[in-house]
Amino acid sequence: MKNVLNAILNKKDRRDFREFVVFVTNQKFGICLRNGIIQLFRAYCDQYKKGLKFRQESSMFNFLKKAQELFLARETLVMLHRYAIAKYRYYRIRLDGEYMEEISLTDYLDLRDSYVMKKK
Amino acid sequence: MNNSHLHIDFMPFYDFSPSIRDTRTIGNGIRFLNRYMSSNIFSRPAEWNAKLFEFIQLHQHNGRQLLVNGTLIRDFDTFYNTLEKMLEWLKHKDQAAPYSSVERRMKKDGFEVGWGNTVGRISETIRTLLDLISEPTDHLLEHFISRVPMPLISKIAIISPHGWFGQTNALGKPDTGGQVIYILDQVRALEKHLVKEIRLTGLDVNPKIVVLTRLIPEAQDTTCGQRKEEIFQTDNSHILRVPFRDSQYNIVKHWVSRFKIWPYLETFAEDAATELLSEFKGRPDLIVGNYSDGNLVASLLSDKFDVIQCTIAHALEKTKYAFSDLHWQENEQDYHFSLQYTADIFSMNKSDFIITSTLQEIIGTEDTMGQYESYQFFSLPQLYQVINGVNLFAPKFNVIPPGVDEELYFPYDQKEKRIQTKQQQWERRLFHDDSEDIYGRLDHPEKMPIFTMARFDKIKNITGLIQAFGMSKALQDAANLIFAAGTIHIEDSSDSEERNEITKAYDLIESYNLHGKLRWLPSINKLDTGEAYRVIADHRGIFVQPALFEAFGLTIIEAMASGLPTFAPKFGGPLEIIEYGISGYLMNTSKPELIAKSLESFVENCHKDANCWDAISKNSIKRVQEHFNWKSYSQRMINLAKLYGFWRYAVSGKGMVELDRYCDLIYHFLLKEKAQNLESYGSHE
Repeated sequence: MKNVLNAILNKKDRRDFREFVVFVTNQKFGICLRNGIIQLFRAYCDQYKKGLKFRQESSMFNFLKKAQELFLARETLVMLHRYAIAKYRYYRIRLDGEYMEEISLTDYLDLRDSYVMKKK
Repeated sequence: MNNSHLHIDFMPFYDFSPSIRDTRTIGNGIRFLNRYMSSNIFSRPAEWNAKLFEFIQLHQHNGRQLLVNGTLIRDFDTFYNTLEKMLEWLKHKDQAAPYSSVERRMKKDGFEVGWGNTVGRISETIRTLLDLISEPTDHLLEHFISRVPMPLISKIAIISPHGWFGQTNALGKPDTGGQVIYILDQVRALEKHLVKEIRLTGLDVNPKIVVLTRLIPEAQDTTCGQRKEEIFQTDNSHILRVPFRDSQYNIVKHWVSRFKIWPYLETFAEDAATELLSEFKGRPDLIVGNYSDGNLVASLLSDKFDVIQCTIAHALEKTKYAFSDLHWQENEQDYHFSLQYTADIFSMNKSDFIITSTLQEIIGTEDTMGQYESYQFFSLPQLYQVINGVNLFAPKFNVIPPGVDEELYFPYDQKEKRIQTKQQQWERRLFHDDSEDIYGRLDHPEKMPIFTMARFDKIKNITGLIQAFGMSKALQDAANLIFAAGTIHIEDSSDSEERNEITKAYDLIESYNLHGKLRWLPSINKLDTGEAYRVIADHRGIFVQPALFEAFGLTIIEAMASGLPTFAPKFGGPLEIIEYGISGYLMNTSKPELIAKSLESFVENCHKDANCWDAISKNSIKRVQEHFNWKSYSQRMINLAKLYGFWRYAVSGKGMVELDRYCDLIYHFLLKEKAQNLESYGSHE
């Protein structure tokens, strides 16, 4: 699997993405839907004093606003990304925010299951 | 990774069907199929003309051959030549003359009843078919099929088992709301349409529509204990009630929540099949399922009778309850989502076509997932994982919004249509009467009424509106809150969710001290709701639908048709009904303060601009009259039934065999036994 971050985020935003991943990991959140993910992004922007342009136009925001689900499982962040209507990609993000790979639907569902089973 | 899950994947079974590529085409499956079929008639004429001919000569009604006598006209070439000759012969006849005047000659040449009721109409139908054969287009195919009984749709079974399906004192009871209204309006409109359409074919047949529901022996003050009930304002349509029976075949006497009716549905379908055969004196021509339980029964009946099945979800629970798939085990005791979601994917795949009220119901918006879309993949941990539960790109989805009953919901300023005594009665009930079933008295009844009406469910969020009103001084200064929901007497409610909401409502009224500013009425009888809306409009009030999510929102179009400026959630169907700021308002209903903000802004605008209320009111009426009417709904639904019938005959029938067998496995191994087991640990709440 290859790191897809370069293809998705511009160079400038990659550092911010790393910060965001660490920020999110420290929030002790459960499983988030789209609104929750946007709120996490806003909270991150507030904490790191990000400007309006970053909040509304950055490649990171454009990527995150299409994320439908985010959760921590097996020491990674797992994301469901709806890149177009009824079309999806599934990602696993390393907790240092340096590496993100696309995973298969079955791997994504397995990680999702493990998120719930871990809590039992 | 642990890969020992059961994976459910319907996708490989759709290889028989052309697939929609452009998401913009989703929701208009029939146009896609018409284009596909008409282009096949064009590019592979020998094969497809033969299919068309074979299909045309298949149809009968009660043993009477329709359209073509296959003994006299044996193949497509003969058929085409005979059509041309018949058209030429008809040209010289009186175009207004009835079918009976040419019946003998037509029969002699191999043409049976069904081409038209007059010579002119018969000629037009034949000409349309000849045009279709020589220069096939999607428009001609649809036009031709809509004119002929191919098949004759005159007997429709509409399946809606859960809740209290009745016309008296049923609305507002648990599990009983918009779906009942939708179906009753639909039946009236369909019957009216079918009477007209069948007459135009030259046939003398009375259509019959049966709404199949559950008989509840402990019927309380409703008619749900009666086996049959005529549907008001129809000639030949009725509600047919069949009781649920438990595993010992004893009749279940009490009401059963929609979440717990799964053990009874298979026996219900078997019993209902016998009853329907007897009611229709044969099998129905079309079966329409409603909601998860009705669609499951519709699939079982459609299999048994081998007829076209239409699915209408109304609302799919999966998106209503966040992560309900993931946490299914915790919720199983109360909701049994594992059964419901399995039933949903089963019937979505079994049905020939699916009708939705909005496009969002299928594919959501740019930002949010659609209700059907959420079934594409999901998992019920430790039970199964769904790799593909529904193929959104299969051409079975069709958006057909429902309409309003124009007899009941008409603009408040059409004074001549209003019944004065009823108007006065609702003026008193909404604003003044002291009655033991009404809570609250208004100190200033002249203030603008903020009105809402819904089932007292958590999702309808009436308590959210009470809170919004309670936290806004501006709203309390300018307006009163009047709502009709459930009952004010908690002891009269048997539904735990409703009881919670009633308690919450009383707590909010106390904590915000809303006495003198609020009135709470019990659910309003459907026949009276139109006048209730109009009386609120007389007072230049507004209608607020504060639901957390609304799949469509019949009350929204009813209120708008009556002339009320309407506020609705910006989640779900209302987005396709209301044009923001023109014919109403959309609001974020997830937090009471956001509801309050939205209403405050309108109240303020009305203060600044005296025409604000009138402008929105007029546009609301216009919007509903132009876009939401049952006449076009009925026409389109019957066309779909016929066209999908041809599609099933020409292509999908054979292709669907494998899919059907896969569905059978799912039914027998994941649904049936689990549903039966549910009975043993209690389904009586």
